[in-house]
Amino acid sequence: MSVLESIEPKVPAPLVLSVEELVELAEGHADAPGNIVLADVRWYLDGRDARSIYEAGHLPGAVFIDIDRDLSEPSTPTAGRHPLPSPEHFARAMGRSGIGDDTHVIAYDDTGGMTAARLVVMLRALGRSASLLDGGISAWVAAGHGLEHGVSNPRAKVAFTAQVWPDTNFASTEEVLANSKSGSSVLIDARPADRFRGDVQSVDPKPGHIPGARNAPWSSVLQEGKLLSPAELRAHFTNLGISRNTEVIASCGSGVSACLNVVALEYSGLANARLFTASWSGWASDPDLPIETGEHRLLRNGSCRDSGKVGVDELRRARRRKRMAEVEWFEALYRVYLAAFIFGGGALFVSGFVRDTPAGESFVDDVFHFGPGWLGLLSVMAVAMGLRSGSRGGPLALEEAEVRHVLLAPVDRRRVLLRPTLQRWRSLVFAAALTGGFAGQLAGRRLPGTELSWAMAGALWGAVAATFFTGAALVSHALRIPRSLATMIGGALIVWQFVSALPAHARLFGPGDATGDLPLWGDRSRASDLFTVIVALAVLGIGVLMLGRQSLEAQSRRAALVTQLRFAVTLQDLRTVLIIRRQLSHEQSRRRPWIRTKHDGGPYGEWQRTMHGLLRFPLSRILRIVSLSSIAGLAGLGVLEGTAPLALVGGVAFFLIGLEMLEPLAQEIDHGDRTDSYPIERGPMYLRLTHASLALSVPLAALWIATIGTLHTQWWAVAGISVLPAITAGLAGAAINIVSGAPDPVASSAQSNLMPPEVAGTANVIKAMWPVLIAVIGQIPLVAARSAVEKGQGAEAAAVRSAIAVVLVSGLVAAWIHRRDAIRAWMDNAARESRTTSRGVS
Amino acid sequence: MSRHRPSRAHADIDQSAVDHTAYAIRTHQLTKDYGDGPVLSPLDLDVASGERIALIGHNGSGKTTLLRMITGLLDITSGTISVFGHAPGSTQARRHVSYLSDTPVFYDDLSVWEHLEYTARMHGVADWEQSAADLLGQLGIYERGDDLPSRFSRGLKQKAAIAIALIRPFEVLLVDEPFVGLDATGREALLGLLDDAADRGATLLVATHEPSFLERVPRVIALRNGTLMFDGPAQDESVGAWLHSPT
Repeated sequence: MSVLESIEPKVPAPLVLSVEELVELAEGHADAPGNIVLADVRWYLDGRDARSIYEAGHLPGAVFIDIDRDLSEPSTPTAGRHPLPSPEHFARAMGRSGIGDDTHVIAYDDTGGMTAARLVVMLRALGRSASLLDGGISAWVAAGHGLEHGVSNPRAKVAFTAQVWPDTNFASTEEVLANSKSGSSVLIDARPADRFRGDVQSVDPKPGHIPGARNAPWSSVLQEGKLLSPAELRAHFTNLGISRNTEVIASCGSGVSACLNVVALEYSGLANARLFTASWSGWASDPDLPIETGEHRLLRNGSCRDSGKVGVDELRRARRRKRMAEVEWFEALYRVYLAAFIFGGGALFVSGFVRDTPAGESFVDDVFHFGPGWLGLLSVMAVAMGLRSGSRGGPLALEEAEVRHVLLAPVDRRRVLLRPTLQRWRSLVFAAALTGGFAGQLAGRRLPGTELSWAMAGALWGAVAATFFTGAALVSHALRIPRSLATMIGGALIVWQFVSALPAHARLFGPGDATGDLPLWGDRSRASDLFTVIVALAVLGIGVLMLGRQSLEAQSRRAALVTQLRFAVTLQDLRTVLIIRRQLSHEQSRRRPWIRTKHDGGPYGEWQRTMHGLLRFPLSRILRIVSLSSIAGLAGLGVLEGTAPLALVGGVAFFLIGLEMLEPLAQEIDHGDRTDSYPIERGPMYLRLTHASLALSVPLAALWIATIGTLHTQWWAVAGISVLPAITAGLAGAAINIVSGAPDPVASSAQSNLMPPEVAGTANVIKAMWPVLIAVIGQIPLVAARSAVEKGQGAEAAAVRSAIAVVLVSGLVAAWIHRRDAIRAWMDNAARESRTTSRGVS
Repeated sequence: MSRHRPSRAHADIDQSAVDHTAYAIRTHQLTKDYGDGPVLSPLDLDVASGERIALIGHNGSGKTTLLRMITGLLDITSGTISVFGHAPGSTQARRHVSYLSDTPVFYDDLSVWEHLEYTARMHGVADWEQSAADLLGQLGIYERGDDLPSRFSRGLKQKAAIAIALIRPFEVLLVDEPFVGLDATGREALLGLLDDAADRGATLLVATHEPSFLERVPRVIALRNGTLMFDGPAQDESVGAWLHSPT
């Protein structure tokens, strides 16, 4: 059984009737001819008079139905050239032609049904019997039947009940617009391809088509003037993306030829389409509605095709255009505004910390004498970092698809990579210049010369350092320098510069000296320093020339990671950022732990689990933790010596140490499904997982005390007292960050949509910042000790008092972790109850 | 959607640039080490132009590594590979090698049809629209042409990836586990497309666990833990053992 046969016809009359079937039917009804009416629905777009053509010859007994007068209301711009007539108008027109409620109408034309289908569609929409004569008048003549001339005997006027046009068969402009955006139904356009694409000027108000429409020229459903077989039609419509039960809306120029598609679709058995009567003539007349020209293609002209040669640049430009069109510019600008708001506010806040008193003469002398060496050290570090980044596959980060589809194609890789390289360089230069400019501005407040000139000099220096980084990374990547060698070269450069910067070796030349001179341009500009700018650009240039030698292995690995990294950053998901950064720098746990511990792990083995994790830390991570401890020690010393803002640095350092040390806990939370399957409570288990981390922090604490105590022996006792609050607060802050987990993207986007932007933005910042603040609180004993000394009181006593308070805060965090599930359940419950109560009241 | 409907005709591929008497792929003492031990032991392999080869082996045996090294996606640790005499990943080699990966990668912002256009025009294919319509039609995803493949299910992604790999001209087709996730229609279509490629003289190297594909190739190569264990006719009785035995 064919698909068509399996479908119940909507009305008893067949949808399509061949000439033979018509003859047979007419013979069967010879006694009651009134039940069948042949309708001549010829009509011409070029303005020929259809009625006189009807009079010149038509099927015997056929009545003439005028598309313009009988099947349409007068045209209005937005309703199109052939709006549906009012039900009464249509009923009168039908009744006049002898078509009653029970009449079976057989419509024909001379185009295979392009115009006659309109009558068939309208009648069948009202549940009346109507068929399309396949092949129309041409098939009739070809079958050897004769025509009648003049006007057929007028039929007796009959009653045709007026009925509202049902929504199930006709689509409104609003529906088509909504669908054009959602794509929930397939919109097919019956106009010829050139009119659909908008290549030709025609009767259409303007060229083009409804966005998302697919071109289905009405002539495609015909072959030699007759409809294709249902199977062929099914193939045709399937190719247009229409399958069983697809919702289809049919349109065309003015709602006439689309009817042939409606008939053909129903005939194919696939779907019943709705007619968009206004069609393009109505749509295009409304200036508010979107239009589209060309077919669905990336590129609309064929310029590359003509040359038969690759046009990668052109293809990429087209992609960019397409992507740019999708950017929500308002939101992007808002983000810029918010960033400037927060960053600017932060800058003003920090600026306030710096005392504005101009520096003394000897200090200024020192700055200009030793400054270049130490500032140069920072530039050399940028080179060293670049070398390492390159050896690990940096600095580029492409889309993974770009690697597979473009870099594997036989195109010039250097050209393809040039743009991403320059973009990467530009963003690094931007960030570094901003940071350098900010630092320069701070320096300018205390040093001779204007703040502006210092800010400019700082920005220039930052840009040069970023250029060195990018260039070094590109060259080291292209030369495939092994990681160990890159580390060695970078390390050697740093040591050289460090030694030359020491006061004892003031005359030794350092590789970064010239670059270190640049930031001092705030007061002293030497043209010779510009040489370093040229060198930086030259290194970058060499890197760019060697772009073709980039490793695809590194590119594809980084591509996948960097995409995730960007996503994590946008979500303020610190944990994921850390993990991906580790993967990017190839930082993996050791296969063998440094020390093998005994298998004795307490009741649940958490101690053992934490130890296993921590003792597998790679050397690079251990070195990082050790240097963070030293930095925290130096910052702590600075606080004790009177620079209170350094407490921020110390707090952040301890926060970062905490994140590293709580890695085993973070692993447990990363694999929450496993945790949930354990038959124990989560909170207490999380706490037990921190025990070993706390224990292994003892050496770090010792290092911290030693850093402070050895440099200024008077602070031994205070350091000893302050170390416990500092470490526990760092761990507590990190634990909050880890246990709270990643922000829920859905909830946070809902939040940003529903709340005023300033509130949502600030809430986000606070949410991200408060774990760090807890860690900074750990530095309070140091600040308290310092202020006690300034007031002439005992430093140790002040430190002890605040240390107790801070440890209590850490204890509260521990309690929160322990009881978190219970607290949450209680809050959910309370919220539910309050909702129930309020519903009860209302 | 395009007006190009699937037809049976295929775009002719310019074969003038290839010396068909040469080896399509030669490896000499090829090794790969990701940093924690060798994944591929020294491997010597000669593949003549136009050969059809199934590459079998258990998970982790080095199949994907070998294919990716031939494409140039992975760096060579030691040894050499040549593709029609060119270094892997060189512009000339890239012109000849099409790679159908086991992990399809798509742009987030391009439809299937736009991917096909992008790839085809990157390779200078003139009448890509007809070939694209044919390929999508054969794979049964013509109507999905305007959809974004990055949102497809596994099987649909695989079909889109097949079309993208085959739209471009190639002399060597490297295919990695192509049958995974495909339904019966897709499987049949892919077998047909691979046959078509072989009929046009392309060299096929297909890593697969699919027994029905083994029946269609004259030569089978088996790897285990990066070592070549078997290289011979598919009818050899030991092939079945390599396909089914535990590691």
